Amino acid sequence: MQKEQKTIIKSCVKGNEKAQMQLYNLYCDAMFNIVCRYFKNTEDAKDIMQDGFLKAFSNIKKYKSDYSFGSWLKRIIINQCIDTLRKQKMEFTIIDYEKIEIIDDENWSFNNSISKETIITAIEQLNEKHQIVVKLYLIEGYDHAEISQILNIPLKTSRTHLRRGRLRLKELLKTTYNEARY
Amino acid sequence: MKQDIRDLFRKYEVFNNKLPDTHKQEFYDKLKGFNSKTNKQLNYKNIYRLAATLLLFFAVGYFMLQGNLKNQSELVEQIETIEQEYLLNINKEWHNFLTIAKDEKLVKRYKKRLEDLNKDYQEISEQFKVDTNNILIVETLIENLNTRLQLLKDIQEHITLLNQENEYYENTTI
Repeated sequence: MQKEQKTIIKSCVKGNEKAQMQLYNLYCDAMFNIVCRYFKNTEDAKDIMQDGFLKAFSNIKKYKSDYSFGSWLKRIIINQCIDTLRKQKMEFTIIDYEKIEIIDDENWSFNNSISKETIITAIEQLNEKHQIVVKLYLIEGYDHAEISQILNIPLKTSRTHLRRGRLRLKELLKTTYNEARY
Repeated sequence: MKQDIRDLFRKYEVFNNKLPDTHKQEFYDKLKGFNSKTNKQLNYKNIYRLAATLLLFFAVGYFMLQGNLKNQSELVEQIETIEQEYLLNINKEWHNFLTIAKDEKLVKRYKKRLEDLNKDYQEISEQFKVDTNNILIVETLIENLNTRLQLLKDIQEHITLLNQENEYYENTTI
């Protein structure tokens, strides 16, 4: 499978359309679902995903087989999403940093009766800036260094957004959990 | 019970969203447009590169030629100045020679020699006009002028010496 993919990628480097379509078919569903986490309109999501693929094909020479192709492509798709959000005038930077660092930064313990879908629904209710960072961290699995690179924001901002997002998420889920309980 | 929700999302790979049916065809069309645009851009890039190379080539050629012409004209100018200087001196020495030389045969002989040398000089000058960059021609030209000058100087020295000797003999005989 990996060997076959390497051959496809090599053909893509040469600009072979058939190979490009093969790669698209392999990854389009996964990438489309990633974009859907940031854009609710499926038509927009599809366009953004396809533009991301075109960007990937024009930069495919830069791909190094040290990483999996999927995560390389995912990064491009995520960047495409962020670029589009930026065009929509979304601002990621913040001016008011929290002065006191909260110690329980790593505390992501939630009640285990809460399902993944409930968490996703709660994330969708977060403030846009916090939402993006939480999604990049929790769902996409990027660390702060990667997030600050993707969003072009300082590490501190990424941490602050994530902390605020996580605290808000806890609040939201507490209510949901309590509502479900009673 | 608590759970770390980060673990929950590590396995998050549910594809709930379905792409529209026409997405493949649509992407294929986009891809075609994109590839032909990229190729065109590449072609333009190549044309620009070629044009830039040619321009550079011509520019370098032009400046080298200019430099060469400049060098050549400088050389011609220098030769002309040297020639003028030599001819002036030769003329001066010739007149000096005429004043001291009383032997007509000698004057005639030297006149002939100088004329021959001048004839040679004219021939070499013609060659120099064709090939201004040949150092051998330049050397021959200067050598020719030098020979003429030296010839006149030598004969004058010889005459002066002879006169001195005559004077000496005249003085001793008296």
